[in-house]
Amino acid sequence: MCITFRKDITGLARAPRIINTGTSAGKPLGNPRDKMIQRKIIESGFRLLEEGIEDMTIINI
Amino acid sequence: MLNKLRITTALIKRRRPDFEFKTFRNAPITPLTKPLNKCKLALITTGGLHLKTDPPFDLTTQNGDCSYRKLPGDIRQEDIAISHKWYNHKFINADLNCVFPIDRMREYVEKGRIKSLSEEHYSFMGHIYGTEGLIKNSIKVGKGLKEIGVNIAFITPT
Repeated sequence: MCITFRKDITGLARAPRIINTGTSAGKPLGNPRDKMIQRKIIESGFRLLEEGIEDMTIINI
Repeated sequence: MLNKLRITTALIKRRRPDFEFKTFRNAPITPLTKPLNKCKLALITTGGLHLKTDPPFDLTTQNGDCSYRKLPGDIRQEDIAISHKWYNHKFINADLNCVFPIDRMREYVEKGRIKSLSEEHYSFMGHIYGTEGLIKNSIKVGKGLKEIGVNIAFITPT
């Protein structure tokens, strides 16, 4: 499971499961102490792991 | 998105004219073979994190440092040093979980969403231009994690 803010670059590597957080360098899981967004991102990752996927799958947060 | 990638590539090529992003054709899909609440999870980052007691990553090598550092399962924010100089450290200095969400994962273990966390997590450097050593070391880390029963890895590029 890859949590990235650059889905273009991560996509080139064909990581199978990508959570695109749309943040910026140095904070792929969002702003400091924002537990709500951190949990939202991780939960999205968990759900994607539980899904059966057949090719690279990107979830945009 | 393509423009952003072209701009990034062009910026890197100013320093490394021969640079091209490594690309792969196929995604290696590994299905989850048991429920999440039976799984052991590890974190891997490319944030250049390491224990204060461990040697820093080498920022002087032309192709980048392909080595890695082990981070113990009971790691705390105050144990961490950062070698990586190409991202702003103000976020991670305020909250390790911006890059390395260990506290959130500990909560998920307590809630029973996942079974356990690995006794060891790993950190690599970013800004690596020669990826051969990186591929070799990432395979080594992956095998090691598998040997200690890890089922899931969350990877956080910075």
